[in-house]
Amino acid sequence: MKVWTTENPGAGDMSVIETWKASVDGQSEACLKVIEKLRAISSSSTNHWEGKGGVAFVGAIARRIERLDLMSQACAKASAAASEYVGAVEIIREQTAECYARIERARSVIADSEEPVLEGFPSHGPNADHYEEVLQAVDELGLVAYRRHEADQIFMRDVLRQMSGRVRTERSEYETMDRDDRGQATDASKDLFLAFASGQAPRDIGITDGIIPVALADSGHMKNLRERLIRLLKGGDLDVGDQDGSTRSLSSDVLTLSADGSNVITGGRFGNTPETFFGSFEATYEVVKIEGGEATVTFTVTNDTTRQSFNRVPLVPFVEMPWAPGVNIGHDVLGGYEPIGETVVWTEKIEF
Amino acid sequence: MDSTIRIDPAELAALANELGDIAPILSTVYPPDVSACQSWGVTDALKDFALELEENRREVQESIQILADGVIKTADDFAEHDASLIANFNRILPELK
Repeated sequence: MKVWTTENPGAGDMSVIETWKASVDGQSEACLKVIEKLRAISSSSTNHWEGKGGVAFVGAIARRIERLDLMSQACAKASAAASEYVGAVEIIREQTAECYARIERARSVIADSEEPVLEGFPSHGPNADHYEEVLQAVDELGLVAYRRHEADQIFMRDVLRQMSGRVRTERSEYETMDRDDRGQATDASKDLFLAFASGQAPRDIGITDGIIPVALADSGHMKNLRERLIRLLKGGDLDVGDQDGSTRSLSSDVLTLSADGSNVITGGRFGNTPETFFGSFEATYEVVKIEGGEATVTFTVTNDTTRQSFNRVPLVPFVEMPWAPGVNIGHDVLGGYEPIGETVVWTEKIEF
Repeated sequence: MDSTIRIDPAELAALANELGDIAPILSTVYPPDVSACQSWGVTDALKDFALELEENRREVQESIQILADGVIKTADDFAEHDASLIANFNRILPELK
């Protein structure tokens, strides 16, 4: 499998995405076609089937229409996300080509000049501007690679959001788990850490089931976000499709930091290990459905695990954790500790 | 029995046939192979979505088929009921004369 790199952030076969999109579009159209036929059947059934059986039949058809409608909408949204992704990667390819063209132009000027070619990128001499141009183009290439990372994250998040919620969780689920279950959460966090440390992990990891969504759903930060949601729902201030979110920040919250610290010291015995591992993260929600006093809400948590974030001591600038030298050697010598991004998605039914 | 009931068994059977005919429409599109995608996370997300879509499609298709089978059985039951009513009527007809 070919995966894009910082040297070639535009890599990848977009025809695969186009094929996927066409298939999803086809599924959406098939759903709409079936909905149309079911509506016609439901309507004509009332002409020759009355009584309780007829009413039950119409109700059964309506439930299937509702589900097909959700499937069709999910496909349409995923398809739109695919279009945006293909467009974003196309721009990234153009930007990558432009960076290499800039580098090549500056190199040619340096090579063709009468001046000797110097080691490194000197800031003096007649070709200093051209060396600077190469450096700037390389920097720009780094930014383009980050844009690709972002495009992947956004596409992945938008696609995962359309999934109907295989992960359903109760708020108190994590709290009532016994020690072994909590051990699973700690193990799952360790797996993520090892993936990060190996340097061989996927850059983007999507998580929609297992213990991590359950643990994150039960984290203090998500509880606060859920309470805010419930207040808005009670006040009638939220509609289907509304989105918002909040950031869990270690840098501004001493209580959060001390809770994470005690969790690390005790090996996850008293805290929520996935929450501690994620540290600072972005949490967003989207209201999918509101019916009576119940709302269906999809939550998305996104996080970047990087060497810098892993090494830094929150609240204390310019100071690194004791493990930082080992992590830096692991990165420089062994190629480990490459950045990874995690996207965790789950759906909850919230009563208000 | 519901006093307001009004059923045409033949029409009901036609409904069931229509339902049976539309269920396969959903199976005409299959999730594509995304194994050659270009980003690990994206590939997994697309696979997960396709799998969930397929799971939903299969469930809805099966449920429409079950509904169609139920309607066929209902139509048969009513046709049988009508036949029984006619037989009863024919049996008591001589006595009415």
